[in-house]
Amino acid sequence: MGPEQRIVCQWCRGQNLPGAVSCRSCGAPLDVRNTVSDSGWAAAPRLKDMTEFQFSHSTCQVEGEIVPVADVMLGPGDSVFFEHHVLLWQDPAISLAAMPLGGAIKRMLAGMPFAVTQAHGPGHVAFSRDATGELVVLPLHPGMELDVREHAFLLASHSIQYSFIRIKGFFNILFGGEGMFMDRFVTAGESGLLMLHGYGNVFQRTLKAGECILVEPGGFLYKDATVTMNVEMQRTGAGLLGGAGMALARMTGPGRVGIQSMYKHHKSS
Amino acid sequence: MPAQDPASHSHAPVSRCRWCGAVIDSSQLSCPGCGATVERSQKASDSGWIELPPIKDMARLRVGSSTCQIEGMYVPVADFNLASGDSVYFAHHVLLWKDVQVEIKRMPLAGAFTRMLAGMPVVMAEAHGPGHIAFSRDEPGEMIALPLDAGHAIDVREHLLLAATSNVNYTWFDTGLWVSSQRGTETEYHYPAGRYMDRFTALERPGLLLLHAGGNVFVRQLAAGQSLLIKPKALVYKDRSVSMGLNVQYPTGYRWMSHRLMWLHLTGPGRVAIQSAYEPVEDEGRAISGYSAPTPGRRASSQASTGSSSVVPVPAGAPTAPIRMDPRHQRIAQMAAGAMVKGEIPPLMMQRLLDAAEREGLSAYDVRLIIKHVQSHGGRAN
Repeated sequence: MGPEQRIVCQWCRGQNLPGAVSCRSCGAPLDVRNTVSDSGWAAAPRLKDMTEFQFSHSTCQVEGEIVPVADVMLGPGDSVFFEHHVLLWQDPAISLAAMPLGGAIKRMLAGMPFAVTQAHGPGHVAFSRDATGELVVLPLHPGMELDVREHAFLLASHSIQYSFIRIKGFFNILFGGEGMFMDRFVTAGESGLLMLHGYGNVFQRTLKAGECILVEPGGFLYKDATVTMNVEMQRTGAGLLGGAGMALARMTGPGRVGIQSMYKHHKSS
Repeated sequence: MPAQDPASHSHAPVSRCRWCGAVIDSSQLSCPGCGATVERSQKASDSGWIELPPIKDMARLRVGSSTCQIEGMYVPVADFNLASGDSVYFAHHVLLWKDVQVEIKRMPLAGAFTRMLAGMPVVMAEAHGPGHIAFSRDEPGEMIALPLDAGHAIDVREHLLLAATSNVNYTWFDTGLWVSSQRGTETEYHYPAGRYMDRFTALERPGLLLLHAGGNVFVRQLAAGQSLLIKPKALVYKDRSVSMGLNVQYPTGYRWMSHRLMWLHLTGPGRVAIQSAYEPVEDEGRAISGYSAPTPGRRASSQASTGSSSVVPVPAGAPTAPIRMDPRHQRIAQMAAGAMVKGEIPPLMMQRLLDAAEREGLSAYDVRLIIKHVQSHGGRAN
């Protein structure tokens, strides 16, 4: 079958067989045009209830639309890792193990998860967060690096390397809404699957090299590692003392930036 | 769910609701028993969960001579049109609005003191028709309409009740599921699935029970002996035949250097419903010093790959499961049982209990918990 006969997913660029209605890599509906606003933001695909997609030897089914559940059927030898408080249910056959992480004390001090848990197949295990929002499915191809705000990732497949980066600059730490660290997900030789939970609706925009936008720090969800992020103060008054100000994150391309419409969740703040 | 009486719909071609089994005639777009959308096929996941069919906006349910309309999709409202002589009961904080002529009375509840200590609603209100009265909770989620046939009962986790018709009997029972931890000389008890659970039973006539769950709701039928691990606060309701236990897992395999996962271990037969948005169990990470009920499978070797594990089996709907107590607690509990008059401790005896507890190294908080325990076991120490 030639490449002209494949359907390319507008969200993850995955290739699908003719007649497919949802992408087999990310679950995005293929029969709906990508919704892009006049300002260039693409809405994350609204995953149809009970949509199923594949990664490695496993499948993931998205259930529900208010607080969606990621129900993963892990194949033998496959595993996913996650923060332990997002577990919803599991088959008794699934085995859990702690995933070794470097810099546990730093992470603990920074309020990041220092205990990341791994679920090993075969069997079913399901995840959800405790707030209304969307699941964002990001298949990561080899060589990709993605930075994600802390506590936003729901699960990632075993082939993805998980680390964290320190946010530089005192101002960024204080006013960036992120704290000191951000999660970094890297794929080496093998593709992987990363799922995030965004509060409210999620939108993505691809910035050209040197292109900038300002984002409210609480609304930031993820970015490509190539996008730089610096928090700067915007003056909102012109009084003798300079008036009040507000902190905004300046994102500079090239790369993708994802935002969420419901700002930082009150329970994780 | 048991079927409703088909007699009233015999004039038109009929089908049955896929969700509650009620009879639906061909002219209806939603089930009159539970509001489930009729034309929508039942959605089941590969893992066996059936998704609660969304109740269509403005769907109307029939409850005896009264009706209930479900309004809205994100935070749905249950708008009852109560006929004369009909009534519903509810916890007072879910009331949204009512007609002036709808009369609200206090519904008598037994064990108010114990309920207060357990954080359950102490005051249940009852609204009497005729007139409109509407209820909603303050979080996005789904409304679950459970038509109960006469004699049918269902166990619901605390705080999920929105409203129920007055012919549905409301009781509650001790889950018997707890873990204790030590803070200095004080023992603290934790109830991951709640200290008590609500039980709703339709008496002589069918009734309607309305629940509000956070996020999406999924239901599953467990076969006899089939087990499942769910997060304790994700449970919405279960059949009485489903038994519960606690399961604690340490993913690293070592208690002293691991976070722990607290599970509710459910075993069939029967139905189980869960919600996708749930409040995480507060776990301060202190070492667990005791468990509810004997735990023969505490360190089951079959679960070695998941780290050490504790399984606490509790018989289905058994509020009187034997509880292993600290000997000091046992002595105070025996004293409390002997001193109890009509389910309460007289003030003079309370002082003696507190003095005795102090000599045992127990706090006033421990005494309060012990009294709760004795009260919930009919005045017995264990």
